[in-house]
Amino acid sequence: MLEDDAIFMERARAGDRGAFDILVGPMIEPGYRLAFGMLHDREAAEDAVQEATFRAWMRLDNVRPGWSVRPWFLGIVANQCRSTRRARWWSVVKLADPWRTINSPEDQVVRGADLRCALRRLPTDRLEALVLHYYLDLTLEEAASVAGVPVGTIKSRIYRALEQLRPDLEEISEVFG
Amino acid sequence: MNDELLIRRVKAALDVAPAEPAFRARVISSLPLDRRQPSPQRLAWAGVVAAALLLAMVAGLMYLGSVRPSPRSQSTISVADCKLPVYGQAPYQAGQQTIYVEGFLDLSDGSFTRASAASTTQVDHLLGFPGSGGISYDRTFDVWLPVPSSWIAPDGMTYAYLSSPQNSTTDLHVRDLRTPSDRVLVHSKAIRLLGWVGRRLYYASGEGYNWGLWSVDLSTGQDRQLDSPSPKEWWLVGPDAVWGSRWYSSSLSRYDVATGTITFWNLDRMMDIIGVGSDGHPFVLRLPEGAPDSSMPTEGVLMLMTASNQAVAIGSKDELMPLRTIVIADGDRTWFSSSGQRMWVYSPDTGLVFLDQTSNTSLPNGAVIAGGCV
Repeated sequence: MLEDDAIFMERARAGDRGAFDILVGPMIEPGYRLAFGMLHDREAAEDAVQEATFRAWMRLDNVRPGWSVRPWFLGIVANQCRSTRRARWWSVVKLADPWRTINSPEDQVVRGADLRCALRRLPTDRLEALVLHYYLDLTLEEAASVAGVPVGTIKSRIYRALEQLRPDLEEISEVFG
Repeated sequence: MNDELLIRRVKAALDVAPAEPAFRARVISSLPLDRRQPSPQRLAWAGVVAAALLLAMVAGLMYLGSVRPSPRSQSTISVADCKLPVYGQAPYQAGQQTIYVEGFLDLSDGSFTRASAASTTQVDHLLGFPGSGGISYDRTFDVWLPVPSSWIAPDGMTYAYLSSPQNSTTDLHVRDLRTPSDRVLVHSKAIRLLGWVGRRLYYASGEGYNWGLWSVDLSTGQDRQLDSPSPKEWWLVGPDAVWGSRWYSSSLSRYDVATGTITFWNLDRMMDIIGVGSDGHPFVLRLPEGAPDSSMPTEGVLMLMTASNQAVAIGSKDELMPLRTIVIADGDRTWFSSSGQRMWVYSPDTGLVFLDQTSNTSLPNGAVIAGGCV
């Protein structure tokens, strides 16, 4: 833990939401992106981040030396998303999903054949590993920390996820060029 | 398809529009002022469990014979002439220092009168130093101070606070409100400031789970170690003793300030000390069987200990939480304040009386008690 972080942590533990915002606030957007990547639904993602932030606020006393805010908070978000996915209502697909609309070749392909459907079919642990490493640009070590597994397991999950997606992507490529 | 192209397309598929700009502020501002407040969803479930546990506990306690049944919480206590200092949180705005609103709650009609700007300047001056964690009203000087009430000297002339000049060290300051002047009494690596007995200030110092007890004399500045660091923590100061415990222990440590001896007050179950009354008896939260878990306990029985293995149950926990419940001794009354604008007053004659301010919209958000009646 950085010294400044330690001071803000002390203040946050004392109930100062401003200090908590300084520590955790910058992680809310990445947390939202992680949640959206795993849940594919804006409302569900917002709910997951809201609940995760509440849990983080309530669990400040459990933080131990060596704490780092990013893997700690994203770990709570990921855990919340796992619970949500286990619990859900999963086939519901909202029409208003706010996917970014980019006119890149990749995005045209995605929009044409809905690669996201393939992503949704991934097991939770593989999807989580992809989101953490390729979307949030976490190192393998950080992704492992967030997921609470060894680095080797994260590598394995990413490999298996890509292998599972490869046939879908090749099919898309054949159709759309 | 090569791996590079595959990964590029996966990244594109994962890309998502950012959260709406106000999302962060909305999330942060929705957090309860008191960190120990359970979420609403859990509260409903916890209420059912707590009720069942409470019944079982009361039956068990009466069987054990070590604890007398609770005096009833019939409201005969007079609070009509009481103007209670309270503070709450102003609407949150991202990027700004936390802003509090201070004032007085008239318990006769529930009205709130905001404190004068002149009386709150010291709050702005010091708010946010590590470990402050509260605002209190000093009736001697009619000022609001950015510290818990236990950090204000009994005569109201002086208060203590902490600062971290080099991040890795802590200074214990005392500020004389008459002059006003400020001086550093102690410079140490880590300090948990406990409070005053007379003109002597008590604090704990240590790290991890090993904390020792010290005191410093306001007049002479003499610093004295009272208990060497050991696997316990010191939490609170009463009128005649300093109280500590191990985490999740069934035993409290009581350092007698007159004799310098440490004795142990035990219960049959794990407990957390949450406050000390004017008579020196500690209020504890007796935890249910099976606690602790990885987070904070959400059930339990509030008890007043009168001696080791002697305790009176005065209420179920409900919203009263350990540590973050504000407990203020006020003569023969003791005030309790927790999140959600929930306030209680206890006296031996009336038991614990709930003063429901949960729907009082005249109060600042999350208002909690900042001192005894004025």
